[in-house]
Amino acid sequence: MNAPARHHDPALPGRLCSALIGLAVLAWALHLTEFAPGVLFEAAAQRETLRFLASFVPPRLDGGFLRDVLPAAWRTLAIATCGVTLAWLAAVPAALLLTRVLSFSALGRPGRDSSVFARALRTLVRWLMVFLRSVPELVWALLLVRVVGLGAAAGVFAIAITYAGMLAKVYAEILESAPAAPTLALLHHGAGRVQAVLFGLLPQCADELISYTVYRWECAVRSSVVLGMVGAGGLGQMLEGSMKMFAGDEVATLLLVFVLLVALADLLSAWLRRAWA
Amino acid sequence: MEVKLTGLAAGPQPQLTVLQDVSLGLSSGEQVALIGPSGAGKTTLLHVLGMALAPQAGTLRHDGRDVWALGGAARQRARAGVFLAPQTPPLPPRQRVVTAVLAARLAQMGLWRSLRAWVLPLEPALAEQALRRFDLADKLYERVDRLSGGERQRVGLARALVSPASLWLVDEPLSSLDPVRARQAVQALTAAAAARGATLAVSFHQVDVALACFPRVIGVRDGRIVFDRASAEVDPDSLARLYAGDSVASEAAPAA
Repeated sequence: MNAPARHHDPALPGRLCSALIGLAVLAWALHLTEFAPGVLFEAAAQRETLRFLASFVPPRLDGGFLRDVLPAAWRTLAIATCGVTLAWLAAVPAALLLTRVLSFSALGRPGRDSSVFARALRTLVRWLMVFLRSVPELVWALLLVRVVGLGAAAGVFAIAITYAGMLAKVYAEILESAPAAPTLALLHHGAGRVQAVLFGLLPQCADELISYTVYRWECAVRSSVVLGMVGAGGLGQMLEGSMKMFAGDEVATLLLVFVLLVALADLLSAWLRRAWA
Repeated sequence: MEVKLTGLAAGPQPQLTVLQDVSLGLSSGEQVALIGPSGAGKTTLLHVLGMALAPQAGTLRHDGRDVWALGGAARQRARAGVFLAPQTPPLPPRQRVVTAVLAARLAQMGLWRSLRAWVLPLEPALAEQALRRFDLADKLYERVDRLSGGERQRVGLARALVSPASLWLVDEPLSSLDPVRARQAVQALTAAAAARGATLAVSFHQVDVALACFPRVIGVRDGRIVFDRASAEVDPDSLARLYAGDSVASEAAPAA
């Protein structure tokens, strides 16, 4: 028996090459971001960090502080909830406009696209949604503070604008991924678009839509904390104050409240999904 | 509803023509069966008759109106007169049977009533009545995904009974039913259509059922109508020609 001939895998040079290019890009990115993990281990910095972390325990839980935290947490939740509700109101019609299954002009004409008008409208809505979500909510908030002044309203509008774009995009994608047959059957029987959504698409997509919406609400809670730091009030503002004063025990309490809020969102999502299914 | 199809060419895709030069008339309240080998174009023909597929050439008239010449909104209103039951029942799995059946009434409901019906079914008695014809009254509040394939298919047929349509087009309603249930389902369908005066066209692979239950039979092969006559006049010869070369189906066809 002969020894097997040495094989040269034709894919080898290409794969090696792309791996090297990937590493080079990553190294360049690390350089660009001045990423130096060594800083974490310098003695002076470590001492400082440890002292701050040590002050986290025990968290500050006295009545006076909690009486400040609870309204702030409530305000944060309120900003997130109002923002997401407004975003939802704008996202639902936009998502329905973006969903191709619901096109009347394409109905009965497989392989053909909708009318020119319908396509133009859809492209317009799509670009509008891209624009809304491509500007981060923090930037919207900074712009809006000049319009509506410091306070919760700037946070609410900032979340509403950005999240409308995100919700509309993902809603439309979820609706398009469902089997089209039930929806088309209803449209073929003369049902309207909204009726077809209620009785054809929603029963198939409700789970995903609910879970994505609640997840976005959770993101909005986090985001309203950040917006608080630029003047929207709530937990973010308190956190910034406590950080500036190096009050570790207060920071610890506030972080615990964040964890509780996110856990709450998780529970809500699980409960809603069970209730629907 | 009276249906008239002239000089039709149609296919499921713009580049693909399945039906060639098909002309066909159905008078109001008539009941016809479509038979023919798989891939003959029966489904495409039913979709064209039901406005679910636009003709590539030719015209479709419902009660004398050229439906594809109508404007979009008028055509959507005209669709309320048509009920098309595809071979695979188009029912959302997580919907309850009562909602799925009553969804066939959406066209005549208006937005506000359909919103109310979405929260709570408005006319459950109507759905139950329709389901009883197909022996499914006990499944009224069951979820669609808990039904067997045959039950789902019969729910799809029960939809026709509650719909406001006067033209019922049913594509192979018996594909997941046993022979007894199949007879029962077809009889329920023809009786309900006759009582309503609805025009009924059903495609079949069961030639015996088609000949026994329908006064008029249309044979389709290779995208053309091969014969169109009273079922009493359908002879074994023309059946053999219809299914020639299609061994499975010719076994299904009666020997005599």
